[in-house]
Order: sequence, then C-alpha cells, then structure tokens
Amino acid sequence: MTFDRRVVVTGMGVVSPVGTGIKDAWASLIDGRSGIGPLTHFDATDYPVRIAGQVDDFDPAAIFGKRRAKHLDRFAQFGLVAAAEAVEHSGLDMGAEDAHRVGVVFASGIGGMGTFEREVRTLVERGPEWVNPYFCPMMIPNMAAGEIAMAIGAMGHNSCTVTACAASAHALGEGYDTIRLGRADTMVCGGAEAGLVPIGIAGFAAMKALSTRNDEPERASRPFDAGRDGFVAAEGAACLVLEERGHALARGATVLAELVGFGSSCDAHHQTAPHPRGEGAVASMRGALHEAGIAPAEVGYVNAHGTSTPPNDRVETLAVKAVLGDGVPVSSTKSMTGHLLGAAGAFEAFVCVQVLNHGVLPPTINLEDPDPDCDLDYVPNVARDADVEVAMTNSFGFGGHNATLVFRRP
Amino acid sequence: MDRDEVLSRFQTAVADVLEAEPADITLDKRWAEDLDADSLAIVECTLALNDEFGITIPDIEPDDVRTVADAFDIVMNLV
Repeated sequence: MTFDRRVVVTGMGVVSPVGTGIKDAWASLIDGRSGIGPLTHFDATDYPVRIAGQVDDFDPAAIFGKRRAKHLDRFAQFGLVAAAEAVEHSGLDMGAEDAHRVGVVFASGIGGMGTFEREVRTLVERGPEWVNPYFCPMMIPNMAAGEIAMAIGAMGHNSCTVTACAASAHALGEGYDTIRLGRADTMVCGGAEAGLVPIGIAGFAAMKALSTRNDEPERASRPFDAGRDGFVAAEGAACLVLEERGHALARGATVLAELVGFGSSCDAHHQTAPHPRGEGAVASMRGALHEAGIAPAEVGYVNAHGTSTPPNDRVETLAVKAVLGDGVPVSSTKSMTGHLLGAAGAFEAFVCVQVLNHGVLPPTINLEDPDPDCDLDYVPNVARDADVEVAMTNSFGFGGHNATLVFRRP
Repeated sequence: MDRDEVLSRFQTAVADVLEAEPADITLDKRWAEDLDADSLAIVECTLALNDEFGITIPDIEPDDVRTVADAFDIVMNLV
C-alpha cells in the first residue's frame, strides 16, 4: 500500500533534566552538559541508587494553579507543558481548525506511578474508604493524552501507546499513520514519564538495570563506555506536532522536518534482555528505511537508544552495523538526559529534528574508555558540525518492543 | 460541639481541598456552580470532613447536596 499524504513536524516542546523548553534543552545537549544529579525527590539514603535525571525547575502550582495541579499526576503535568510549547511553536490556531481533524497520541511507559504509590499507602495504612477519588483518573497512563486534548480542544483520534521505553516513538509512529491514513490532518504526539518515586527506583534497582555510580552522578550515564553499569532513570516529556504537509503549507507553518519512515518490531525473545543478535532492532531500522525509500548510506545521523546498560549498547551497535554499516555517526543523548523511559523516543525525535535544522550532532558524553564491542563513531564527548539530510532514532522497550523513526530535512 | 466551631472547621477543611479561602465557603454557595466542585471534588471534601471530625458521612447523592448548607447539615447531625 502506498500513501500520498506526507507528514511533517511543525512544532516541538520538551521538559527534561537538561532543560525545559527546546532552546534550553538543545543548548545543554550541544554543550555536553549532564542533567544527572543526586536523587532528591524523596529520601533515598537507604536505596542502592541515589542518582537520577530530575526536572527541578518545575513549579506545578505556578503553572496550573494549586487545585488543578493536585489532580494531575506529575507525568501529565509534564505532558501538558511539553504539548503547550509544541502547539505554540507550531503556530497552530485551533480556532481556525476543524477540531475533529486534530488528534493526540501521548505515551507513557508507566503513567502516574507517584499517585499509585501514594494511594496504595493510603489503602494499606488507613483502609479502602480513604482512597482519593482522583486516584484512577490521575494514575491511568492515557490521562496525559486526555488532558492535552482538553487543553487544546482536539477531538480527533486520541490514544496512548504503552510500550515501555519505546512508548513515545510508537506514539509518533501512530500519529504518523493516522495522518497518512487520512484520519486526521494534525496529530500532537509524544510521551511523558515521572517515575522517580520510591517504588520506581526500587523496582528498576532490583533488576540491576540502574547505574550505582552514586558518587559521580554526571559520569553515571556512559553509553558505549567500557565502565558503563546501567541506565540512569530520568523524568520529563517531549511532544512533536505532526501535520499533513499540504495542511501545514496551506496555513504557512514552518516545516521543521519530514517524518518519512516508521519501523516497528518485536524481539519475541525475553521480557527485558535484547535479542542477542539484535534481530528485532535490525527489523525495526530496516522497516523504517524501506518505508522511507531511503538507502542506508543516506542516513547521516543515528540517535541511539543507547541506554548505558551493558547489553543494550552492545546489541544496538551490532544492529546499527548490520543495517547501516560502520561509518554513520551515532550518539546517545541519554548520556546527558538519563533515560526518559516513555518520553525518551519523542525527546530523541526532537534531537533528530534539531540536528537536521542546526547542522550539529550532540555528543555521547562520558565516553572515555570505549567498550571494544562498541566500535562505531559515537561522537564522543564533544558536539560536532555535520550537514545531515536524514536522521534516524531508535527506541527499544521491555517486552521486546522496537521502534525506529526516520526524519528528513524538508 | 458548638455550631460556630463546627462551621469554622468545616470551612477550613473544605477550603483546603478546594484551594480556596475558608471565608469563601459560605452556606449559600452551590458546589457545582459557585465552587466548581464536581462529583469527585465533593467526594474529596467528604473524605476531608470525615478526617477532620472523625465521622463517617454516608453515601450521598450529588442532587441531595447542592449547596454548602446541605452538606453542613449532614455534618452537624453527625458530630
């Protein structure tokens, strides 16, 4: 099946440990600044992991008012802020749009884990009659999608992808498909995560998935480095406004990039470990390139999933080499942001669009002693000028979910 | 308990839930129209009042508590 409707990016917004707002976040990434620091959202003294990528410059009461802020889990708050920036950036005027042709796909890996934890405490400590009536609406992972639709008045297709760390890449993919199928002209897509709560940290720490480099937070996320010892959990949100190209051009929008390919696959192998030869990742990348009609040699930059866990970085390297060869520059911005989990795919899509527009590759920081199994060009430690026409981003999630997005300069 | 004392504590508990000023929680106010309190917010107020007075407000139909006075009467009968 072929589609004649093309999909472009017209706006972006982010909330992240390296900055809120695309300007600040991008400046941090190009400067190689880490957003990782001590975990202070709760007393983590007795936890094996005491570092995280926190969003610290965020005052929900000031943004939403105290009463409304109280009824939005932190992940939905992040999502609303990122979406507001993206819609404003796009110049979309909802007053001039058919609300039924504007949709939202907004992901979360986990949803309102902080709300979940608090109310389970209430249940256990006080009993069922004391559970807050807002518990369910605040906790469900799709509520950011619902809230964003309410905020902008988007009455078209609305959903939430929940594929762990690939969730917001899948959200963008679903939004892209929705526009290509003709079900909407504009899709506000992205993801949000706010899992830096005791049960979240304890859970990932129990898997031994997290770095325990507690004494050197800024050096803890070190993708592709021989000394890497796990990912650093982070929080935030990212949002892209996707639009049918003719619709964007007709309203005079600035086209930032074209989304030309979406690949999606499953390892069908293990709950958490990647396929040893990266077969799922290879299929995802090949699928995206095939759909885009782009040859491997045309890809000028890959934003890797690059989590800083020993297995991911080794297997992703194998997969990238299998699909693209060993000449393409690859960087992991998770070295600076930590792992935004369900918001990571959309954040890294934002990075790809910035690369196409600014001609600079953000580095992989903390790459001091490369793992011999990781032998690609990872843009180590310092940003690099590069004229890139096509950029790719990979996202892989627990459950074996893989998603790849390919963007082209307009 | 003195009616004025109950009212004062009632107003403070409800104001805390609704992020309003206690003085705004007057008996004539309607929950939905004047205080922007939907059914979930009313349940939240009920929990706060149960907590404040050590009472158990029975299940109530939203139509039976249109105003602050309706709710205050229920509380007054339980304390």
